[in-house]
Amino acid sequence: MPALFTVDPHTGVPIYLQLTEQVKRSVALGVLSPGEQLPTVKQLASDLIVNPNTVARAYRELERDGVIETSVGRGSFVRADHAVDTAATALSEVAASALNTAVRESKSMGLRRKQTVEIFHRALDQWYPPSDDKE
Amino acid sequence: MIYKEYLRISRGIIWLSIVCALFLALTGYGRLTSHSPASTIDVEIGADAGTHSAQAAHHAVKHVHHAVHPGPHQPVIPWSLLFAIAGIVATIFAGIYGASLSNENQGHLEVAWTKPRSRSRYALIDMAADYAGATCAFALTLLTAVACLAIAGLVTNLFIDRDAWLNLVRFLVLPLAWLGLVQAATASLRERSGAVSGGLWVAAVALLGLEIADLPRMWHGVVAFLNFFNPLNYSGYRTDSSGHLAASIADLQADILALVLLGVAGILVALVQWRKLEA
Amino acid sequence: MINSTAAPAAIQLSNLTKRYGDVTAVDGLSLTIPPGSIFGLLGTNGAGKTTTFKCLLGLARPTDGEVRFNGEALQPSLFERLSYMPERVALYEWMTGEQHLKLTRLSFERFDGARANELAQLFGLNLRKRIRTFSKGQQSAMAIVIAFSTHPDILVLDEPSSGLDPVHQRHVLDLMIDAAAGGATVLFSSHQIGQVERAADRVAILHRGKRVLDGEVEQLKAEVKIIEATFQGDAPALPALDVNAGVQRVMRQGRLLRAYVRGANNGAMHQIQAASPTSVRVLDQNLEDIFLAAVGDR
Repeated sequence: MPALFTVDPHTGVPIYLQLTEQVKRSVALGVLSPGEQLPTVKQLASDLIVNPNTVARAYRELERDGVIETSVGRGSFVRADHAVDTAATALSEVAASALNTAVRESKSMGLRRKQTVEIFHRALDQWYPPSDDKE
Repeated sequence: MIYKEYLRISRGIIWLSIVCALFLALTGYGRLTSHSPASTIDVEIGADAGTHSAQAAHHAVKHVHHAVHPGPHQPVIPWSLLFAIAGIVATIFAGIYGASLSNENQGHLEVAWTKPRSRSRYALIDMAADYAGATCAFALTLLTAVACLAIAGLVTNLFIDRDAWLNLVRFLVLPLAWLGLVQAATASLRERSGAVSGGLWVAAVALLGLEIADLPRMWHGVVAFLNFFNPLNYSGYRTDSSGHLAASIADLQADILALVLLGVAGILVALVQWRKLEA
Repeated sequence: MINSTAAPAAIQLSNLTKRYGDVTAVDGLSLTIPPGSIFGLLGTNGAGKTTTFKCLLGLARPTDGEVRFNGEALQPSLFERLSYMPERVALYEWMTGEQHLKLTRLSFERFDGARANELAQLFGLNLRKRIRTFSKGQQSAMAIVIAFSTHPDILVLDEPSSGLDPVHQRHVLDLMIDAAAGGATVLFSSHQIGQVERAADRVAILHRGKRVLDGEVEQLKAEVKIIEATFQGDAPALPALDVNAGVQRVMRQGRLLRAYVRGANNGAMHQIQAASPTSVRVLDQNLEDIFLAAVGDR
């Protein structure tokens, strides 16, 4: 599977975290379906040109989080049971963290609460279609 | 590894082969354009050399400097002369090959020393290859000399002189002594090993000359001492007035022993330096 | 570093020191390189990386200290399983590529000719030519081909991608990653931090012969942060920060204060907040930031 994941090693975010987040995203969005096989550690390390131990670590984390399961000799698979929910929950945590950082930034730049809310609403209008407003 | 030594040695031998081939070609050309009926001379000289070998030896020494030229003096050639010529050529090659440890030290130690082989063994194989190369040069020169004589129709002029076998050994160990000297002088050099190797020739010849020069007594002592380590000092090719090689059997044996000792000592000194090197 | 597992380190340096006259090139360096890891050695020019490699492999005699491979001292037989690529190309330039490969075949039992040819093709090398006629990059590539052609268990690569074009640099990284995925241990140095960041799982930073930082790349990234605070007036001097061992460096510029801190619970955040800044934020650091902070003047 070409370029299912990408990593940017040059950011401050650890590569294994970038990988776990992307796998969760793929599972939550249905790009990876339950039961589907993931590339082997060796293959993914080669494809992304990152350290195999880093990929292995990402897989271990994903396993611990209940998103994938690994059976010796067969490989790693997206878990058939609660993987989608787990992944979605995990992603909302990632989103919450990103928003939190954004708000903190806004405050650190000296913006008032009202100004931050205004910016937040503008961003909502830009990214969420108008139909979503009705919900 | 021996393969690298093989490549290294064969490069020098190929050059020598070309030179030898040139000599053969020149001799052949000379023979073809020569007006004198060489075959007649062959027969005459052959008969002379065969039946009166003692007398022939007598002539050989007197005319040793034009021994290879056919002429009215019916020259005869002792094998020892050919051994001496081959020995000098082999010694030149020992000087060329003998900078081998220094060549490794010129930027290749990282390759040489990261092989599953002990360092001493590596150096010993290296130096054994140097000597094998010099011996090849000896054999090639000797063969070429005999072939040239054969082409010129003079091969029957050759005779086995009294000291032939001892001289064969002596001129085979001369390159060994020279190799030891060059290796000992260059093993730890990172550059200019070629210049040092060449300079040793100049020094060795100069020291021989100074030994017979009229020097103050103290300087003479210094020169004599240095000549003690000079391989050329043990490879003289002298004759007396009666035409016999001047050296006694015992002298020749002492020369051989000295040359072997010099060679072994030089190799050991080189080995010690090699083990102390750092990349 | 405490090693809780029983398996010996693939490479263990203990208090390695190398002095050349008055100059101390490597100064009491201790490193533990676990088996199967890709270990990146970073440092400015003259930091002692090449000298470390030379002492490691016995090419230079350490003034002090000890080196162990899988718990054992260095022996010639180890080189059957260890490939070294020096910083400066040390190949016999008078040989052709083919001849040099033959030399490798006759020297190493584990040499794999098919692999060597495949790698030579990957780097576009004409093996019939003499190494002397190769460009600098091609000579490096030739050294890489030889290093990887013997399926080594340990690879020591000093600036393996210097002089290579970006495509070939990728190939080198790929080869290292492939080797590590197959269980080999890779120790390498590089000026290109981006490469180290990608390929290495562990990294040590050398500065003037000393180790100034050592750890897992991912952990260092997670651990080493910049706390950036802005103040009403000029940033105040905070003596508490200067003596805090977890703080690598403090920078002040007008109203701005930046503290490079290591570890989460070192109190730096409290020490800064005690000075009542108008705002505080925590910035992630990439390896380059970490490197510059570690070797910068303190």
